[in-house]
Amino acid sequence: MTFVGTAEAASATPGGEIVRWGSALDWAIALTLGVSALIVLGIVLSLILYRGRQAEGGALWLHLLSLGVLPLFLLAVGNFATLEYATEVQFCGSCHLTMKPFIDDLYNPKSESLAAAHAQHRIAPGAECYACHANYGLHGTVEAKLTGLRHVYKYNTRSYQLPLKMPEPFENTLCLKCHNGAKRFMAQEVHLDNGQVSEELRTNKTECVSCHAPAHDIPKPKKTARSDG
Amino acid sequence: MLGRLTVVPAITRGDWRTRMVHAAQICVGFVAILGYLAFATRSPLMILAFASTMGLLVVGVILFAVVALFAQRTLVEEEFGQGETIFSQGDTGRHVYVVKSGNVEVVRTRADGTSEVMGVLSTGDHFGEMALLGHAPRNATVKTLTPVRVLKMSGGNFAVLYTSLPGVREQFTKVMETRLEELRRTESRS
Repeated sequence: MTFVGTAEAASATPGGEIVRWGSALDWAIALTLGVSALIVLGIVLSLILYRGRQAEGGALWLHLLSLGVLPLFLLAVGNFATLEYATEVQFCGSCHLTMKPFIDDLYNPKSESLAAAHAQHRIAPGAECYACHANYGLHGTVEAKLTGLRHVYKYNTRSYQLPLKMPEPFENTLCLKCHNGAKRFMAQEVHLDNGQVSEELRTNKTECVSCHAPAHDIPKPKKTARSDG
Repeated sequence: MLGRLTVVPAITRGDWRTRMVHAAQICVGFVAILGYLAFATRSPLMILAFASTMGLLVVGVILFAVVALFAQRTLVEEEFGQGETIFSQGDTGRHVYVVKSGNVEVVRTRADGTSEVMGVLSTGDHFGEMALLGHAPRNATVKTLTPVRVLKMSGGNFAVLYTSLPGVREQFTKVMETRLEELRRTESRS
């Protein structure tokens, strides 16, 4: 069993077998591509067939498709595709200068990091970054997307600094959203007060990673204000 | 039938509905191209740009909806300054015009290149119907002599009026016959 140390590995099973096409994201991307192409085709056709008569008769029926129905459909599938694609490891990993070491760690069989353990046990296949770094619920999703936007901006304007640091301590609730109530977690007395998750853990006085480190096992990058290519 | 026609003010000189369709095409086309490139290349920056500009799709749909609503049953009021050409001889005729205010002259250019003013039209006069009814190019150029406001009617609406209202048909036929006669005289003089 080998793990490929690149972002592309996110779409492959550990055995190397590619996951069959047909997920909701696959369909959303295919539809986005298809509908976008149809819209452009419709606009070009109307410009050729109804030159100078864009607001009249037959042109309006063609516009109904290319400027009415299809754009609304694109709005729906495009939004879905964008939001879904932004949860994928390959999306986070595409900022290769900064994220590649983290992605490599995910699939490194020798790594003892929490991230690698989760990824290699296929906890959230393809969406490992998002699974741990987005809060529970819609609010968490929106917050994660906004953070993602900031990251894309900083990456493309090279306005980030190495080594990357967490802007704030990693909240235990991000671990507890899955582990709270799990059999193995609840079997450990150290996690509990009177059968409930301990106050220490709930209030972040004790961080999960203080016992379960490291979260990520990456080589220490050189300290630099910006990085080139 | 006339009661269902609406006069809409000119937003810009020229056919504002065509401009709005073009604006809608630019908005929607831009986002569609961006969407295609974003997911064809899977570039995060392109996907970000696509996500940020998706609102233009709604703008495009609204622009098209406005045009579609006003496309069929409207008279569009347009303004022209002094000395402007409303249409030229040889153009394809797609609209009929009624002068709301001001004066226009009808100029016919003969085969030898000489021009003759065939008439001056003022408030209440109409022009442009001959090309529509005869399915022929414009046989004269219409230029403004003063600042002019015209009501512009699409060929489709004119056809409805012409076929369903005998009085309107009679009026247009009478004027058209006079103009055809005038046209024949002009041709014979040359």
